[in-house]
Amino acid sequence: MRLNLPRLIVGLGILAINLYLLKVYISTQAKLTFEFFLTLVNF
Amino acid sequence: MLLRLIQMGIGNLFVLGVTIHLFRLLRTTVPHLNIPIFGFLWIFSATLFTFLLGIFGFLAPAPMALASLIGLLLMGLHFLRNRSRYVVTFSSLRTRFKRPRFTLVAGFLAAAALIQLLRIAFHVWYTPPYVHDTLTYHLPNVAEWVQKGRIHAISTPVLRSYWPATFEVFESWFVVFLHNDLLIQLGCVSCYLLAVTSVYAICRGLDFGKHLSAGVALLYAYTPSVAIHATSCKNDMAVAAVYLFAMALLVDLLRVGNSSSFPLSRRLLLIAMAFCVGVGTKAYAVFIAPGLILLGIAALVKHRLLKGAILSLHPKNIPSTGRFTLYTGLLLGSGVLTFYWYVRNYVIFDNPFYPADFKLFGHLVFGSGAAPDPGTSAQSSFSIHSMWQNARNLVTYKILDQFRIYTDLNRITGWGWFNFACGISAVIYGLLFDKRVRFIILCFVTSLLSLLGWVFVDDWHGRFLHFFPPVFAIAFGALLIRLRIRWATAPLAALAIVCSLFNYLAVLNVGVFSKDDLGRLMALPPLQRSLVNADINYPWVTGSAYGEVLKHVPEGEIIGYSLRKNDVIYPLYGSDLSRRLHYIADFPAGLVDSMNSRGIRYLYFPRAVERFIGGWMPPYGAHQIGVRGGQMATWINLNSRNHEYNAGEVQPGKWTHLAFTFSGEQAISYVNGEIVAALDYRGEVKFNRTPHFVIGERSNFTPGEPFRGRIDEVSLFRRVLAQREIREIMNRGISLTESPSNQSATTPDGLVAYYRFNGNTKDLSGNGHDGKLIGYAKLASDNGAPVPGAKGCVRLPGVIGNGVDCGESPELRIASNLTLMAWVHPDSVDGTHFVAGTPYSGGEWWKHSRIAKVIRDNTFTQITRHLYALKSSETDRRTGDSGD
Repeated sequence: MRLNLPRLIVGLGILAINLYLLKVYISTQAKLTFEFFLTLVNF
Repeated sequence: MLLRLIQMGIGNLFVLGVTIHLFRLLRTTVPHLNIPIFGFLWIFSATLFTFLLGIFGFLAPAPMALASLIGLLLMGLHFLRNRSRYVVTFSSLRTRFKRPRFTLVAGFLAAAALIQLLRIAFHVWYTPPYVHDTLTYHLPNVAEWVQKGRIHAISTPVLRSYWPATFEVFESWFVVFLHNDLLIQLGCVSCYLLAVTSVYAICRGLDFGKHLSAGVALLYAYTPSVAIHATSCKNDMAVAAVYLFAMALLVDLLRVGNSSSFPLSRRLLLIAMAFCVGVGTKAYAVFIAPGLILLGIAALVKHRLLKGAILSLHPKNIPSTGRFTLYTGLLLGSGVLTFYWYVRNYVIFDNPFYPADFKLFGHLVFGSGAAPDPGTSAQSSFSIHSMWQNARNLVTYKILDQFRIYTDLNRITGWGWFNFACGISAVIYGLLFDKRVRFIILCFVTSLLSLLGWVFVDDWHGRFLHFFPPVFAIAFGALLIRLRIRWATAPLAALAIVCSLFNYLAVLNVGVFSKDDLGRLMALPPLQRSLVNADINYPWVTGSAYGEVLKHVPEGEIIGYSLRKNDVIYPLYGSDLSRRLHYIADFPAGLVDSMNSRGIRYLYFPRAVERFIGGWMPPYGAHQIGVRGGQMATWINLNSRNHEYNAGEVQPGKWTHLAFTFSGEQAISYVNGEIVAALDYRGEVKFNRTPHFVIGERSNFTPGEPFRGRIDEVSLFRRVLAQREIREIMNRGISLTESPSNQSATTPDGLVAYYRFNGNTKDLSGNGHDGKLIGYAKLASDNGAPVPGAKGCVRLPGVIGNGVDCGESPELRIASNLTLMAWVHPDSVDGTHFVAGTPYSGGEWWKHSRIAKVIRDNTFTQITRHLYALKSSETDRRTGDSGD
């Protein structure tokens, strides 16, 4: 497949946005998610 | 038990037979649509069968099994006569599952589906229903119907019980044979599966591949709010399921147009049936219809079917008389499931929408004009303001998941990791670059905005939105197709999988049951797992308190009860739903007579009521300050008369200083140090027996809506401060060093409590009235009031039940000569928002305090915290024996 520059940019862009959003989410939600998980593991 | 299982088997066989029969007549040649069609027809058949028998008083295992047996015999005869046609049906079913080719992707998807189903199975089997709403008004219906063997309007103070209850009829199907609520969550699970398979069908309709469609459906299935709701017993999953089912049928119509194998009339019939089930479940199904209407019109216009659609409804165009009868019958059945509730309410209450009001263009058509009870008020009109505010809540609660989303469904949980980290960008991409997906997104958004505009502002309405998250998953699926770059799609898919894994971990425990609770529940025999074995805190009452009540009331005795209008009652029926309950409406005046005449000896009283027993409670209370309609609001209760007034100006997004003084002869309100009202009120402030001093907490005791914004520098004095002093404190704060050792030395005269919220909720007056953060109230480390030394404040989310509780010390109850001050920074000044003070209680509860007189008359013995027994020789003996 030939390198398609616009596609490359869009693909990279979306991936970057998603990773950034994931980071945002981790900073607010990770503790909460794993709090419950850990409760269960203890059990 | 064996007999019950046999009866259950016969009943289920019959419903399955009816479903197969209907499916044979209504199916398509498109396999992916056939799956949800079959599922929907099964739900429909079970519900209609339960309803028809229930309404005629045959909601019991024996008559239902007998009716099923007769039905099965008739179907058997029919089958023998038309064997050849059934063979065709079965072979068509077989081809769908023919030789599935095992690939790695298929295996992975199957495993993902399986582990979610295992989680759900765990919750169905081991945990009892626990969501507050279901315990107050959904499930008491089920319990009463199954116990009495008929579907009827039950006698209850919880008026929401009278809302449409088609879903509760479906839930009864899982309860009636076992006479136990062990499997009751399967009602929700069925709807969850219908929703997920419908999402699969929507994706196939958009020409996604099989694996991708299954992946997208699973991404939706893993959404925390949806996955949690699968075992919640709430009816919102049912509305989402029929919405997505109708959407799948319409997306297919958009794709292929009319086809001889699946004529338009059949498609429209199924959509109408789905819509009827939706409206019979919850009236908001109407509010989310616009997106479907838009999609339907687009499909009809695209394929030039608009005229055909109208003509197809004409009886002449229904192919044969047999089919005409079938269609009419199914429409009638659906209509009965929808309109029964509205007609019943019209007959009983003169209002089809009881207990909500119904307005049209601002004119009251049905109802009293003041739907007074929790959860029953309805906006009854479309409002841009509501739409905007609800959309803001949506972003906060669902998308950003700001609060304790995964817990007891108080916030009904969020949309989780995937929708945030992958879904949002995919939706934006779809809107910009993908024409086909753009239209589907627009249809979903139309439904969403319509819903948000039709319901009043409340974050609790987030539970109506389970139909919406597929938009993220679908857009994401479309993105993976369109990008067509392997190195980009692979990491994106991996990211989605990781996010879904987090979603899964988050809902493993629904967040309500502690490990001790789970241990206790799992150790019990399956048919005895009830909420009374779990120490869950509901407002006023814990799970075990219900157990205490059941322990002391002998089996067979009726438990009389009197409740506030939003209290939990369901656990008292017991997990086998055998306990008889009776709501004592004539309370308290005719309480004893009413109990005696019915032979009731026991009275259940939740703490909400009990806490006022023996005390005198004014209809309104104490002294409070707040914000109302852009002004400072003041409430004060003097000699049992409530006074409230507004004055001054409070702007949103701006720090404003509020102060209130009361000398016993005059009440003065200050805004930013200026007197805005001075009223000659004489008397003493009256308090409840145990009022808490609270900040920002909108509870059942405080007026208006929850406060959203920031509050800082709250202080309470036991003397009337002069304007000069108020200004001084407003500008400089109260001069204290924050070292506890020095506090008493520098405490200004008469200071009772002082909260700076500089990283803690301590009372800096030295009197020890330290505050406690309730719910989602948070301390903010910046943006404090414009006062030197203000390093932080308390931030309130605008959610009911959140704030700072400063305790109930008698020192905080000042009857006259007081000053109350606070800096506020409200996000909104529309409506009424409580800021600080001692709460009041509504007039509704006031009457309950008169039980005190009955108690004083030595009529009752208190057995447990919530249980009272009428004094009579027999009851005394029994309670004496119980050794409590």
